[in-house]
Amino acid sequence: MKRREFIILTGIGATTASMLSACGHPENKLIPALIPDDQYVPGLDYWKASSCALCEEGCGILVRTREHKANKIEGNLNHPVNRGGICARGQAGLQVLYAPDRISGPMKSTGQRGSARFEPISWDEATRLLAGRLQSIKEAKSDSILFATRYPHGVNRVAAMLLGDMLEGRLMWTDSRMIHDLGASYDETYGAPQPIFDIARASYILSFGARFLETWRSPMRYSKAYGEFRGSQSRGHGKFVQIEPRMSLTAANADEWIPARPGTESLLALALGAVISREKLVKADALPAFLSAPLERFAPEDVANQIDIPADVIIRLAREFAGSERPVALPGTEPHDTSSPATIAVKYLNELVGNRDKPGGVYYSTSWINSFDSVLHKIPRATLAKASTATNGLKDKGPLSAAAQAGRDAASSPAAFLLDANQVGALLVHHVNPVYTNPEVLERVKATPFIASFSCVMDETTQLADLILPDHTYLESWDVKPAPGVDPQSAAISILQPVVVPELDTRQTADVLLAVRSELGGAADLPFDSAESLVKHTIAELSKSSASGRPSTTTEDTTDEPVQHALERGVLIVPAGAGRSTEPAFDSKSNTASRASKIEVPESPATTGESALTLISYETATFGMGGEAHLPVLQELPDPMTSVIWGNWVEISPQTAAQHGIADGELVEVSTEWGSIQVPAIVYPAIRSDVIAMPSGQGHTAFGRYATGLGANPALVQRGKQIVEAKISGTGKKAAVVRMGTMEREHPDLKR
Amino acid sequence: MPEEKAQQKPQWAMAIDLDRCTGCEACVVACGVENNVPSVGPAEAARGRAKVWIRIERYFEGEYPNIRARFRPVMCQHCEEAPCETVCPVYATYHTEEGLNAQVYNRCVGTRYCANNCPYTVRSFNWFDASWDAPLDKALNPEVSVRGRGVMEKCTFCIQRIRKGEDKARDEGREVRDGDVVPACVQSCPATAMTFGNIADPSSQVAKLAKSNRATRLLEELGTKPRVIYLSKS
Repeated sequence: MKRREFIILTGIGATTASMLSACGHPENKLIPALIPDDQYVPGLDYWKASSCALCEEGCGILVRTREHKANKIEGNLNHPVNRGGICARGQAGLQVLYAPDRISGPMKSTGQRGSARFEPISWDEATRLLAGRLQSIKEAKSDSILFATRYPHGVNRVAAMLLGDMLEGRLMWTDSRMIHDLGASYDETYGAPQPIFDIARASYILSFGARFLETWRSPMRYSKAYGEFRGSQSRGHGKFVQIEPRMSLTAANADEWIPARPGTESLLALALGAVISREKLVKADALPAFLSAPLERFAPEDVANQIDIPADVIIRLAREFAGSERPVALPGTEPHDTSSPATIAVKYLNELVGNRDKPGGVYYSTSWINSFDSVLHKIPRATLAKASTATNGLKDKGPLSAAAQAGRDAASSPAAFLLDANQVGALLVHHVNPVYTNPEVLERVKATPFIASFSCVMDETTQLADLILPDHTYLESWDVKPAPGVDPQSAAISILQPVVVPELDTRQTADVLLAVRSELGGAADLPFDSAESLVKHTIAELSKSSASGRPSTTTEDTTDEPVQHALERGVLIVPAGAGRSTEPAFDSKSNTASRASKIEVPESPATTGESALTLISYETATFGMGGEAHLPVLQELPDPMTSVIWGNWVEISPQTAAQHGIADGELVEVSTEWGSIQVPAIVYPAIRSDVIAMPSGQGHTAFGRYATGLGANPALVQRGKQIVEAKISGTGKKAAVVRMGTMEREHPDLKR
Repeated sequence: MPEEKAQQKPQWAMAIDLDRCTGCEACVVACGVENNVPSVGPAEAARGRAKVWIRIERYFEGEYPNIRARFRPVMCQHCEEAPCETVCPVYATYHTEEGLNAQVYNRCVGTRYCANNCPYTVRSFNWFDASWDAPLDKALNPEVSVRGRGVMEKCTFCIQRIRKGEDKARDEGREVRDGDVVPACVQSCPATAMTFGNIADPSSQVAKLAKSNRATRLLEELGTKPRVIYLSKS
């Protein structure tokens, strides 16, 4: 009976009919209610609403299942973020669920660290082992425990926080957001976790390396908006300008591509601002002296050399941008050394043209995410207040706020934390792989006394673990996550629920952590005892706080009805309140202005002599930071710009290739001060000649049969930096690089 | 089949707005998952045997720094005058009353004449039996047959989804409406660049787009009368 419950857990009832027409598959049944086994009809499609978890976005998905197997993922039309669409990575989610190399159950290490010898154990034993280890760290009162997760929100984090309370504040959590997102710097500079850039209604998009069609923030949301931007007839065609050193897929769609020198985005933004200011392209009263004064240092004639874009181009762009009806500038996302000034400078530019809270501009909303946090993340606080007095009198404030701050602190990405913290007594990794993404932490990880991994697949970090407690995949899990702002007035809460019975003997991490908490003597007075009940509890609480956006109560059971309704739809829309940026626009104390005025003009780079190359790496739309490289369908998906499949490469301009005598498809050595890697060269016509670029995500030494040993990992020579000086040299050997639509000759052709 | 009756059947066609298409390839994965198109692995892919039913063509224009890239999704164009059909010795590829260029896998003997004669190179040949490492095979779509060795395959406009849409309309005693049938690629498109429907129905979205002054067809001059309409970049 228990297995059945998984299938029918959401019990969809009378409201199905409304959903049928809405979901776009009227011919199919959507998530039937309480169908016992004897009434389950083979050959019928059953659709289940859930959410994608393959990036931070949380797009709504509908999963088609038949004979208890999931066979297709489609976008959920009801979800305001993706509105029915779904990206390549999201489509490949079924291979996450059915990956051949998933870890089949809990295991403990039996050999030396790194020997990758494990033996299966029971969940009871695994839970006891973890609890025992954490207990001894708590008693020793010296080391800290680091819970590193991929996801900044959700029930697994709440469970970790609850567990942390049992450990007297020794458990710190950190998420991978800092590695590949602007999360932290946005908190500071925008006063909002996710400002909304309304590109759909904009008439001029100026993107400073924001690859919004691929990885930036929310590729689905911005792709939909981009379609509207292009499709709008009333607005005319609009113009889209992309600034970045290498032509990405996003730049390929731009009307104009500006290959500025990497790392000069802030300079360019301020140079544009300087033109706007001196030519009085905005209304005079909108530009007080304290704002325009700092801009004088950035006159295009003075900084054009550093940016390596002619001054007249900068002046033209400034005139076009400020003269357009609804201009918007997007800050790039790569957290390279200069990302923070770039973010500030781009915000400055937006303020100059006065597009705040206007259609086609930038919306700052602070409160929508708070409404989510207040419910989900205050649950532990509320219950802890009770629990702590009952147990050992822990103060509500101490451990939780410390933990929360640890996660918010920009210096606390898993890798940074590992490098900085003196003593990490136990490392708990949850869908992050610091040994792969930041190879510089390898020795620190190896030296950690205890490592537990919740990963689904044996990856580089999990290989070093003492204990493996495999998590469910997202298609088997319960969770809730806030989707970045839908519009200024409302927020979407994406709901994840199991679409099939768990494939293997895995267990959701939240449930494991709650079990460990009980093992450590945690009080059993929480209003939930599992990830599932926590999700339902959260939905019920959020529904209570938002009376609107939910259908009138038709059944007697008033408490379950909103939960049921939300589970059917896979998404809950809650009003965000009138959130606005806390920072006043163009105040003399304006944070943005004062920060921008502190941005320094770098020295003009040397123009003579042996020109050094700059190596940049970029996240791809398919693999992200490498978390999805184990999916064969994505490995065999040709890169949209180079057509390469099954592996990665380094892009090099034709000019530089000729200079170094490197042929297309030749194996080359890329070296920096930290080492060298060998990788195939692709001669790429749309890249600066002083830049070479590598996609991230490949070069795994352990990550299932499809990813292991394929390509090279640029992180090995980058040490966590996005822009590094590099050298390149040919090896004279032909690389095994495969491009879609081409083939090796199997037999020599006849002479023609 | 009498001519009149054939005319009553929906005539399926697709319109693709190249102004909106970003080249993201969501459609490529959607198609592969829906139609059980296997991954062949790096070794076979190097021999040119990787398979897709829809591909994104990328063209560079100009020289650095004034270089631009353009994208075009290309799948079987379901030509009304299909060059592939006339060369098949066993009638494995033929035209349906609904304007689809169909492939009967059981009839195909693998001469590959059709692929040779297709100006769009959208047909792919099965050089070996498709396989999936267990349990990846659990994700196979039971509505679509897995093709065996020696058989030619290509885009079907998601015939199984067309049938479902038509069956549903029939069950409800009505005509097929615009939007009832959505192929996997169209469903997934993040930028809403693709539209599918009955081009014989003048009120359908696709029929309207086909009349747009931006409407072009690929290699139109060959006289193949493709059923895929591209709206050129404006």
